[in-house]
Amino acid sequence: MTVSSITLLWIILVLLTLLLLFSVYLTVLRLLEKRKLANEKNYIDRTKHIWMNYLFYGGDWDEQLIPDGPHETNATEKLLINFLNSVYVEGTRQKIYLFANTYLEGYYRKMLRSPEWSHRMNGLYRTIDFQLVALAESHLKRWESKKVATVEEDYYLSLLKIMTCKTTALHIIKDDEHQFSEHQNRALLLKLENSQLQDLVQNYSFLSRPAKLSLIDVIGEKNYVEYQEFLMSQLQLEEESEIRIRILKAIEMIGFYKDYSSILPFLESDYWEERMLAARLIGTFPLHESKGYLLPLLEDSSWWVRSTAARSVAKQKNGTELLLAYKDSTQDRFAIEIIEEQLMRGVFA
Amino acid sequence: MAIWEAILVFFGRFLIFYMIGVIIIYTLMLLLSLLKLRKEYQLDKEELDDDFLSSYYSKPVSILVPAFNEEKGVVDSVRSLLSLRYPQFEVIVINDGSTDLTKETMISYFAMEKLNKVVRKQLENEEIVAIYQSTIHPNLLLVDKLNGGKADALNAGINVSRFPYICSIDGDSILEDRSLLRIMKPIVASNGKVIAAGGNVRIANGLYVEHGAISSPALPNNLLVVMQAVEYLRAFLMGRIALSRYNLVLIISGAFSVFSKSWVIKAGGYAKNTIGEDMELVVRLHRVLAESKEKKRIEFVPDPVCWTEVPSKLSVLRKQRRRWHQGLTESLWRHKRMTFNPKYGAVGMVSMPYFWLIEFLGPIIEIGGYIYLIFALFAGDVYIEIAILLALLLILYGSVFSMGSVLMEAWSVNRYPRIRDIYRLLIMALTEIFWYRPLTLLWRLEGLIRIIFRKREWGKMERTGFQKKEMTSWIDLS
Repeated sequence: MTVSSITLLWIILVLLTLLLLFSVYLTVLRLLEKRKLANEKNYIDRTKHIWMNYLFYGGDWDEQLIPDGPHETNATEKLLINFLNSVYVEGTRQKIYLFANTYLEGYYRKMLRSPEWSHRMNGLYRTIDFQLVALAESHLKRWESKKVATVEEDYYLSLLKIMTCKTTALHIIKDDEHQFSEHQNRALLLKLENSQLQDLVQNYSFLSRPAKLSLIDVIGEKNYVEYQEFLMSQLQLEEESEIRIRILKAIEMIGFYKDYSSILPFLESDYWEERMLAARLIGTFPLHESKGYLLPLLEDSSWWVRSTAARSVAKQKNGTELLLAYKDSTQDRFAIEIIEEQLMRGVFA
Repeated sequence: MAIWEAILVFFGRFLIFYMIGVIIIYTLMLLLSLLKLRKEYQLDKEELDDDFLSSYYSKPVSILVPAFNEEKGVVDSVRSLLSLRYPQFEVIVINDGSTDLTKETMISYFAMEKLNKVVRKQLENEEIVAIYQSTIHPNLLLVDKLNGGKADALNAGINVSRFPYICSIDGDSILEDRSLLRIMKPIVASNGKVIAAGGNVRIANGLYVEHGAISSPALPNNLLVVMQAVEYLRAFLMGRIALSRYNLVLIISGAFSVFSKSWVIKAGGYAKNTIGEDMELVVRLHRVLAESKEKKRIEFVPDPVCWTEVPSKLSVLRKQRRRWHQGLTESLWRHKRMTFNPKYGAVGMVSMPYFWLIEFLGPIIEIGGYIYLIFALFAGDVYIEIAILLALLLILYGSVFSMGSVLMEAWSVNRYPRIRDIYRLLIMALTEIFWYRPLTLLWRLEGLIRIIFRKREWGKMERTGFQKKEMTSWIDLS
């Protein structure tokens, strides 16, 4: 055998040995995991009823509930998270927070100090779930001078700051330095009260793009009628189509508006999405007012706009007759086709 | 004679260098995958899902299930889809002219009624005969159409769909309840920068399915299926995770993937005249993105698990592998201009050459290696030295990497919780290069030959359907 073959053979043998050792390690890990699961199950079976009695039925505190060792602590965590997510009884949360602060803090402190990102993240989730304020404060202190490596961790550290009243969600959203994504901004916005949104609306022009988009979406989703005027005025000012589309959507979701004159220019927008949403909004007004705007859209270059216009007309009183009359009067092949489609849909719907 | 000897020695050395090159590439990919898996090791992902659940409201999904003669598996598959945890979605089963009772099974099981829906034809497809809607689950539709193949069925589903994202899954696949949430996460988190995501596919043969959900993941007894389980793990650890990191993914499994509908339409939908429609679509998306100078991404998501049936007979597996290689070759050849073309960025400069050199040429060169080994046994002399080196490289390349993948999976993702399953996978991985690898190489080569002679075939797997909980359990017996 040549030198290279012998070297390769050695490499393979070393790798195989390493794999063998790793498989032994995994086997031990699995056995420990099995024991851990059995211990957890044992704790849950033993204490489930005592927990429910204590938390929901005003039962007395029982020393048996104090977890002994990491397996039982893990089981307690599972039980309490389940209770927090699925049951709401007055005072329950406070009892859970008090318990976690007394008996679980050390466990999560260890997790938060871990060099592993995933362990720290799990620790952060639980610190927030169980409102471990003192732990949050000490963790934030430790991280004051450290560089946060990921946006996810930065986001949860921001949640800790909110929890410990070091800042507000409002301040974080206004503050551009975090560069949170749209969905992170949205999650933060959902934590705000309506009154806090007011401040953001007033400072709208200073917000980052993702924050603007999230704010518009949340206003629409929560049906905040009081911001309709703000949306209408912003619609005229915004230069970016994506933002205007979101505003039109939000206006539609709120579903209550008195005047459509500011929407009319969007019927002639270069973007079909804007024309479609404008058609949908105008379609909610009585036909004698809206038909003059909707019927020309039956000849629009986009199928979506034509279809929306046809549907908006058809759903109103005498709408079908109006569509039939338009079909007879127009030469536009697309308009005729969309009216036929709509009438078919109307017959079978 | 001396010239022949020189040629053979040169060929042997070429094989060695090629394999060393491939081993280095695979090692790098494995390391990159490990870094990613290590980062998320033991991370509580459910907490993350719940925190951002509200964001998913803005991204409703139409799930498309093309079904051709799937009467055995379709009900379980649809039930698993209906129990998905996702705020807003619809399930569209497309019956592609089945000759069995797929349509009747669906109609009777889900109490479906005919719906007269106007369909906007954004992509070409064979005639739609009727559309049905479930009276129990209003978000479940059945599209009954004339046979036109899987790609045609998916295009019909896109035409019927209402939502901006489409998720294609095979008619016999089972998803876990959080799979859709997880696969949509990169799309939601990237604010639309990610336009497609592929999920991790695992083997479902012999699993218990109860009310559309997997009750206990375990390995079946069939050795061929166990071998494929090893193969899937290796593909996932030594390919897709690493390629995805640099936006180089060219294949995301048709068994479970999500796409932005508007981009699929821009790319012309699923190609009907190709065998590997999944790869073809991804390559075309990359092409459209590069040509329109859009900085969008296509990602592979390691954790969303989709369980799917794989062939349990050699004859079916042979056809499948033949088709896969034909599909790969067709797509590479059709888009050959992208190779080494800087206009297509990293996909043109790295991904396409990688697929040409390793995935396409691999089988030919590896078979060359096996033939060389046999030849060297008879010829002896100088060839033996090369053959020993070659054999060792094949062991490293085939078995050692596969074993490593099995252990990495057991450590990180841990979808097979029983210790004995892990050891079965390890033992099978060790035997891979002696029987399974040469077989699959031959089948892939066969696919290549068929494409040269322009022979085509449409794959259809024989399904056995999932086991039900009430049946006698082989798991309990084993």
